[in-house]
Amino acid sequence: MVCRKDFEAIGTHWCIDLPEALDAQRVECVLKKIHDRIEEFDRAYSRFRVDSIVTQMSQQSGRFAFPADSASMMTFYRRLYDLTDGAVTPLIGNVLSDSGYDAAYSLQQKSMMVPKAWDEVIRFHGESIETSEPVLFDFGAAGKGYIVDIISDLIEAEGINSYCVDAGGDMRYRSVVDEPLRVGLEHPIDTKQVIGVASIVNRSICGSAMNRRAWGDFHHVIDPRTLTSPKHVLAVWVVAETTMIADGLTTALMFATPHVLLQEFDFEYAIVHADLSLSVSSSFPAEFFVT
Amino acid sequence: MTNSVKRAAIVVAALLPILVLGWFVLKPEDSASSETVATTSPSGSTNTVPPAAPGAAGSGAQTSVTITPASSTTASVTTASVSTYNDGTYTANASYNTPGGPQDLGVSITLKSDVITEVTITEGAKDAVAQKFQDQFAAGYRVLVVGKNIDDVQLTKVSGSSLTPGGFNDALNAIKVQATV
Repeated sequence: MVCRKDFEAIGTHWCIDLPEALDAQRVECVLKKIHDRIEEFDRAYSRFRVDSIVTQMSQQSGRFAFPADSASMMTFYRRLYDLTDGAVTPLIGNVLSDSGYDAAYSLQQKSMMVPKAWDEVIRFHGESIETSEPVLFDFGAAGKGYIVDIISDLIEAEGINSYCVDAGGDMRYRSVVDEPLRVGLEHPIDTKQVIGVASIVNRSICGSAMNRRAWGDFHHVIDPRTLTSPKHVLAVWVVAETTMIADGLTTALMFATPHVLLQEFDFEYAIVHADLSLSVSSSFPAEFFVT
Repeated sequence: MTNSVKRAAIVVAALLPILVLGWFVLKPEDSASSETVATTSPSGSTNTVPPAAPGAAGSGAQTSVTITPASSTTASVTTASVSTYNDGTYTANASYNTPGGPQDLGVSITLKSDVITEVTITEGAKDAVAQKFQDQFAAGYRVLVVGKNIDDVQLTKVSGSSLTPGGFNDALNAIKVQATV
C-alpha cells in the first residue's frame, strides 16, 4: 500500500494511502470525490469561512438545514456533553473566538463569556438545528475525526478496503491482510521525539496535545465553565472503532475520568500528564518508552 | 479470578491506610479503633482484610472496599511459566471516613503475569486535603515517559498535536516579531 497522496484541507495536512494496484486514473477520480466531500463538510461546519452554515448561525437565530450526516455527530456531541458535565460542547465557538482563536487568527484575547447550556440554545431535529439566539458553533472536538470517517466510508464505497486516511495525525486504517500500522506517539514537549509506538490494525487512532496550537494562556481546548485551558494533561491518545469517537474522547478525557467514559464507549487510551507521567489503559496497543 | 480479586483487595486495603494515615498525620484529632471491611463481587465471597497498621497516631478510619473486575483476559498457560493470578484489570471503589468527612476513592489495578502493571485513581476525594494525598498516591504509581528521536524509531506515521494551519502559525510568528521589536 504505497500510493500516497498529500494535500492541505480544513487547516491540516492530509495524507491518504491507497493500494498501489489502483491505476492512476482511478486514483485521481477517487481523490476528486474526496476533495469535493471535504469541501462540502467545510462549507457546513467551519467557523473559519464566511459562507458556512456555522457562520450564518453566528449571525442569526432560527432553523438551519444541516447535512444529512450531522445527526450522528450531534448525537455524539450530546453524549460527550452529558458525560463531561457540559465541558465538551459545540457552543464553545464564541469562547475560542474571544480567546483569540478567531477566523482571523488574531490571537488577541477579548472579554470572554461562559456559554449557555445546550438545552437553552439548541433544538436538534435530525437534519436541522434550531437555535434560540445567534451562536458560534465549533466542531473542533470531534469534527475532524468525523470527516476522516466520512472519507473512509467514501473510499470503501469505491470498493477499496485497504487504506489509511490521516488528517494531521488523526487517522483511520484498514488492511485486508491485517498488516499493522506503526504510529509514533509524538513527544508532547519535543516534537522531534516520540514517547512510544502504537500498532494499529483496522481501527482509528487520534491524538491531542497542547503544545502546538497554543497562544497566550490558552491552547485549542478551553473549559467553557472556567474559561481556562486545562494544564494537567500534555497529550492524550485514543484508539477506537471510529475516528469520530477516538477524536471526541481525546478532548473528553481532559474533563472526565476514563472510568466514566468507558461506561459508554469502547476505547483504549494513553494520557501523558503535566509531570510526564503516563496513564494507559490495559490494552492500549502500544509500546511506550518510560523511565 | 477469586485469587486475583483477593489480591487486588489486599493491595487496595494495604494502600488505603497510607492515605488515611497521611490525613491523620496532618490533622490528628480523633482516636478510635480502626476497622476495615472488604467485599468482593461477583463471587459474593467476603474477605476481611487486616485492620490498618497499629500504632499509628489515632486512626479512626473505617474503610469499605468493593471490587469488581473491569475486564479480564484468560492467562495463557501453555508454557512452563504459569501465572498465579488471571491477567486483567480490576477496579475497586472505596469510601473511608476522615475528620473531613467520608471520602471516595476508586482504584483500577492491572495485573499481567502476576505483576501489577498499572494502578490508576479513577474517582477523586471530595476534600482538598484527602485529594492531595490521593494525588500523591497516584503519582507514586506512575511511570514517566521519555522520548526517543523519531529518526531512531521505525515508523509509518506520527500522531500528536495536529500540524497547525498556516494562518495560525503566521499569526503566532507575527506576535513573536511584535514582541521582539
